[in-house]
Amino acid sequence: MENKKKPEKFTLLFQHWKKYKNKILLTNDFGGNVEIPGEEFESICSKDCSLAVSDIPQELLDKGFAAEMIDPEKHSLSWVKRHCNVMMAPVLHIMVMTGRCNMQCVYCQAGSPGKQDKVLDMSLETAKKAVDFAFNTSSPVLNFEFQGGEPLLNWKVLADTVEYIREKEKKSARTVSISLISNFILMDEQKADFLLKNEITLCTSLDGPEYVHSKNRHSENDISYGTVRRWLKYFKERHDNQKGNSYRIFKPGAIVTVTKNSIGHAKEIVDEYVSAGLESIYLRPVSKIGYAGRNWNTIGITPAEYLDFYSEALKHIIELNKKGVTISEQACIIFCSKIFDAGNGGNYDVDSPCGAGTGQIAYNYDGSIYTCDEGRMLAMEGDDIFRIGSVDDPVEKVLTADAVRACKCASELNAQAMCSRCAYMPYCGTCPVFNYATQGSFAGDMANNMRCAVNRGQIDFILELLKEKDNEAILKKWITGSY
Amino acid sequence: MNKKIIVSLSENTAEAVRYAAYVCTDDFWVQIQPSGNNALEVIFSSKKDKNINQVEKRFTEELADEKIREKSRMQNIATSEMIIRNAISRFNPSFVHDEQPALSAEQEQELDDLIAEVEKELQDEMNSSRNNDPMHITQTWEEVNRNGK
Repeated sequence: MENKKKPEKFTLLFQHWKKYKNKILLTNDFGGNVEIPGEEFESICSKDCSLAVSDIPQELLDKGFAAEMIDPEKHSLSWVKRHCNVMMAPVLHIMVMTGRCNMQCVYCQAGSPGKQDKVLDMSLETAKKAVDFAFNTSSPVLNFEFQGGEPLLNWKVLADTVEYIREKEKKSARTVSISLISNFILMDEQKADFLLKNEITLCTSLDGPEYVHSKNRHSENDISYGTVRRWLKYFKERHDNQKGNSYRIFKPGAIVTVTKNSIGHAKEIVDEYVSAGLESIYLRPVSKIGYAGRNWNTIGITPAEYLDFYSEALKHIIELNKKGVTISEQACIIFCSKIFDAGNGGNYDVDSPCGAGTGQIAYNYDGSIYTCDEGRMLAMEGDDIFRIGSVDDPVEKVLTADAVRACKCASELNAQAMCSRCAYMPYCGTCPVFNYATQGSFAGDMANNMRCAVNRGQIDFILELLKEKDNEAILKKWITGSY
Repeated sequence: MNKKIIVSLSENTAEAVRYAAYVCTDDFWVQIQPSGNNALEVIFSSKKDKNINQVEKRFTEELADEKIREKSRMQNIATSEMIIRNAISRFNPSFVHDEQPALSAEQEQELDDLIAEVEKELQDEMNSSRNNDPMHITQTWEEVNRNGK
């Protein structure tokens, strides 16, 4: 770029922009964003977006808004980084070891039918076929995620499948990682030891202090909160004292689902994570799907309520960082990765098009394959529309199934009436399963879509935060992981 | 209560009208239909308790913004598409793992059959040698005891 001779005039590229507070926010497909006064914007528009060198603000040149200064190589690579989920076969392979669950959370999207019915367990034969299927795709990186229901209810098959994956890994050149999402109720030292020795990343749900967590996550004898805290402590201690081990122990993780029960407790929820020794928190609003949808009057929240909660929590997290506490917020990382042009934040939900059937696929206990975990959850409610095949089908047939294609078309934001006009399009994404479940179509109706309102509000808030250099430095640290 | 707005197609494209109207669908129902030779009639009705009189100002502003977007899109489209084409041409997405299995399904079956045949022969040989060894002298303690003998 340095060698290019500067032309006398520049043509500005600004397809995405929004007006607010007498200013205009311009964004581009490479993450760049610039705020300019409204009058300046009008002046640019009146000159057919073509400006003399002397009239153009340097920031617009630096952030890729001048067509004549575009570096095709650099900008193409930037595009690939943020759309990598459509450029390769699925990385995330979600294996539903059982449809059974030993808890009854108020926001369950899958409507798990209790812990009795063993026909809902994945057999070892099916699990092996699912693993073979994953290894038959072309992805150089495979991340197996064991889920449920509660996956520990089908422990024997889970453990045998882990060994099968590690065996296959030895004979392949893939980079393989395994994670387990569990409520930890059935965890014991023997299982924990096996999981850690197999380098499995562990993740659970912690919704906040006991008075919030227990309202959301119901378990027999109300043991969930104590169990989660005890095992998080155990896994953190094992992580911190792993010197001399022949295997790596990863930090445990947890996620929060924000319901009506969480409103008013944003700071306490963040503090709970800090006191549990967790260094990352992932805040997500409850989705009106499945059992949660039927329970909406009790637990549902509006986008405005969620955004108030989120901004209070994020402000508190930033303040903690300024005091030297190590804690980051995952949703913010996803958006900031795109704002700072650092890829897609490793997330398939907030992507254009979304990662359904390309970035991820989900294998249900019976061997059916779905576009994603949300699509599989909808199937547990009786709607199989996101089913794309089975473990017995050829890879090509599954990954090019109608539902995959429909998800790509519906979640490509350039094809969305409102999104294609939105200043936040380069940072955002839409979920066809959420749209279908809440609004009746894969594409949805963004003018009335809860997730769209939440995403817009979150990005508003994050861009506001980024105006302060201190905040920017903290958020950049989260992206690079350089605490 | 409805609000009808006539939009000239000599000054606006139908696309711009559609996009501008769509933005208003959070608070209003919208119907767009032809009006005479070269115009569209956009009919708004309130969804909730929104004041229908507010819609004209909002729609007019959105339409003005749309005209700017259309113009900038025309200027940007070639550059954007060039970048995306360049990006896609760097990759050749392939869904199936490149490594071909060393054996075809038939060859694998043939190999399995062969192994099974050899295993059977070995087993037979062992059994016959056992028949010649009624005291199990050739067997280890573990083998004898594992078989409950």
